[in-house]
Amino acid sequence: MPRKGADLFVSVLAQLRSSQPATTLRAGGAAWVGGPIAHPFADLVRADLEAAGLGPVVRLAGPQPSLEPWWPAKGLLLHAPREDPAPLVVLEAAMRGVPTVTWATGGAGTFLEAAGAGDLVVDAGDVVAMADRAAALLAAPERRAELGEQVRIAASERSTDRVAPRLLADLIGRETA
Amino acid sequence: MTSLCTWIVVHDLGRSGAPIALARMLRWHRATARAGGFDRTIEGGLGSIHVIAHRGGPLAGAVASEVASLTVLEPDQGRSPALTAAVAAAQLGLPAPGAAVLTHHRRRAVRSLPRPDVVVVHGAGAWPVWASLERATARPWLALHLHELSIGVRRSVPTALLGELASRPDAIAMVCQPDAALHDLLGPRARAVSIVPGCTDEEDGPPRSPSGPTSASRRGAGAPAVVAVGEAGWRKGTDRFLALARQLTAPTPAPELLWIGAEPGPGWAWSVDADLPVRWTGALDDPWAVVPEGSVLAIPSREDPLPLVALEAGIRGLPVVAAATGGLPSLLAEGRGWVAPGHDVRALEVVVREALGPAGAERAERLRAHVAECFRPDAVGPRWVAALRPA
Repeated sequence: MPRKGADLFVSVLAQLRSSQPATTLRAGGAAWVGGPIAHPFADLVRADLEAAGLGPVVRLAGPQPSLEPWWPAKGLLLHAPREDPAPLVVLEAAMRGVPTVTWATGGAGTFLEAAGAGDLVVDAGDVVAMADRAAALLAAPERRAELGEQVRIAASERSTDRVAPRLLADLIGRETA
Repeated sequence: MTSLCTWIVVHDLGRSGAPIALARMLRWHRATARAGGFDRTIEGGLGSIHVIAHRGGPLAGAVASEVASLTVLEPDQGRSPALTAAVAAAQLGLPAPGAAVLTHHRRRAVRSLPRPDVVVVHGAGAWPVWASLERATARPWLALHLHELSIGVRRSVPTALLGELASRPDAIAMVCQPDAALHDLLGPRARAVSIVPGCTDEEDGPPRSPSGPTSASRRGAGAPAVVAVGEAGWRKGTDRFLALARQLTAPTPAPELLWIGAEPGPGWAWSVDADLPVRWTGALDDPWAVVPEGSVLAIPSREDPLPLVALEAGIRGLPVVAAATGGLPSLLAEGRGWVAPGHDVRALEVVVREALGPAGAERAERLRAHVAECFRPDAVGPRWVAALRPA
């Protein structure tokens, strides 16, 4: 769906390839996981991939029973939705030490700012800036690991065990055990 | 004089490229016929023209005034009872009876029209309409004038009808050369396609819009802007324009980024706190009236055969920067504008900055002269007639 920004994800990768030639995008090195792959919007995304010569690079994986095999242990999550108030995928990536580059709108930007990872946040729709941040991060494994640890710690504060009691207290108006 | 009768089938008469191009050709055709021009150039033109539109729209009045008749099959808003019945039947798993009801309704709507010698299917979106009408008449000369490239064609025509679209017409015209996928679809016929582009809104006098006169000297006030025109979305590259706007916001003073057309619709819209550096004007009857002097037209489209706005900007002396799609690289070649890979926003930024500088006026003048020579109605009109009627 366009709201999730699959087309923008491709735009960022296309920009990365154009303006950061030193960054290697190997075959199968990127993936969009989730969403229907037999859908008119998916056809548009495929057209973008083909036009940018990214067909071999990006896999449109469609819905998957588990995200575990897909987390990029040595990479990052590009989160490019036009609107997404509280994306769980960013928290789940952070819990695995995978840093996210995202727009300064919605819950992902707020989470990363609070985690002290504000340099992973760019203005909404700024495809060039997102590509630049991603390239910089891919070229600096130590920095990526450092940010991964930062967001992992921040995400641990958002675990169900931590959040549920606070949420319940807010809902019923008193602290729980 | 000719005794030809021509039906032109069009999807709608909204304010978008294909209907506007048709309205301009019809105006030229009627003016030429009145002046006796067809006797001297193309024998008879298209004769008596009857337009059949699936839906009407703001251009309906302008079109109706130029032709023998205009038949609109569906209301501007909502559906006819026949279409409602067809949709409902399809949802109930009974598509055949539903289609029969719709076909009956459409054929009845055109029953009183004189039988055509020539049928022009104007735009891919009109092909399904013609498919439901064709048995209402004896086999005419069938001409297809595509205003789309491959993605547009596949979005407008059900897969089951694509084969016929490629094989049935006696003549095929396009506004630019077919792209690779359309080449594959058309097969050997791709080599025989006639190229008939749209035309400017300029006639002998000042530029005019299809719905009324405008003036080349009427421009918006203020500092030069970077302008895009069209229906916001994937095809027109609205996301690329936004990314370009982000690049152009520094150094200051940055040009205003103006999108003439409605904001992106549901699903494509950004969250309300996105603070986008683009001003959306909504759709305008005369977009050029709000474009300040010295502005640049940017066309970041993913797929755009040959947008009329490029011709309109050209005739008004505006520099044009475009993504490499459809006929735009050819239009802007030989120093008449700038072309960049559409997916490379940095490359677009570089050429937009050039166009805003002194080189902009120089290239704009070359484009103006080229458009005035090759894309005026009286230059395109004879090609239109020659491509669509039997030799």
